Amino acid sequence: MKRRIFQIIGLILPNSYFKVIATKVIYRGQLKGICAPLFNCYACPLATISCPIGTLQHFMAIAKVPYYLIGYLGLIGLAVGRMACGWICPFGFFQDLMAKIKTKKFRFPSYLGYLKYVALVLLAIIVPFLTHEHWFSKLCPWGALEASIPWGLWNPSDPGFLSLTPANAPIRDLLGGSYYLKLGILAGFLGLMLFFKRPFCFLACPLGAIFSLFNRISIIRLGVDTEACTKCNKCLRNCPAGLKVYENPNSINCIRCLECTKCDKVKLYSIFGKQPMTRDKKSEADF
Amino acid sequence: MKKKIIITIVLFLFFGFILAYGLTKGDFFTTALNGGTL
Repeated sequence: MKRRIFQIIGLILPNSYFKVIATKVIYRGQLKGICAPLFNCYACPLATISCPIGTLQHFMAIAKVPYYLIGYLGLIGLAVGRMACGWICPFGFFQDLMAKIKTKKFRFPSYLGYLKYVALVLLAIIVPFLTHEHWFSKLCPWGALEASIPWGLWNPSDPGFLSLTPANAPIRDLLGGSYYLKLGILAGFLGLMLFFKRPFCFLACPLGAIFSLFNRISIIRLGVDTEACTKCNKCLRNCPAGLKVYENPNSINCIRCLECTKCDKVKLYSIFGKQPMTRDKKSEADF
Repeated sequence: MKKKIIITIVLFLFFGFILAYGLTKGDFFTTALNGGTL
């Protein structure tokens, strides 16, 4: 319940520019200089802040090093790993709600979790650098749901996007092939959400890929009492990412939602504090 | 354990320095001019 409250705040706070209803122009003021550590589209009509992945692509497209973004995401990742994914990400929240649809849920093989690094390196770094265009954003399913569909339905003229020309034409006249492609990708992920928990976070989220690099070295980590654990899979049943926590408590796919800590064999601990349980041996060895 | 804490502090300083450097270079304003993609 506490996590739901944070997720609702994570959805509403970055999307509270209600003035757009009167102006029909996207907010492009100084607050858009702030990247929230969550997946929220810059182009959403209500957006007040920037998406870190949109920012990363923007810097790549103009061939500049995003020092601010690296430092900012590095500090957050070092403190809490992927916790933002589990607690405040609006797309994660949406996928959690979709997972409530009663269908049989399957698990991805763990190696598919590395696909998100391909999405990060290829679509958010290399291709924008080479083509000077925001290719991940052009394909982003959350961008489709939060921005493309609302703007397409609303269809105002000149809503303030730098990337749309001629600027004074109705949006619908300017939407090209990539618009329909991203709608198709959204449809694909919506289909996956019926049978898998958080498929986008597991397979394709570049922000999750960045934070996941810190899961094993962050200040707070998960530990499993391996001697007491009976592998009853209570953690798997509670996990919104569909993970067997006892196999690898600080896996790259763990979103640190802490639902698994409902089992008393799984505990959150800090490297500065007393460690209450047997530590995650794999993580210790890697660190 | 001490080693882990020292590495964490060093990494914190490293990322903190990069963040501060980015802000002095005007990254904040570059971010705001993203433009948006549909």
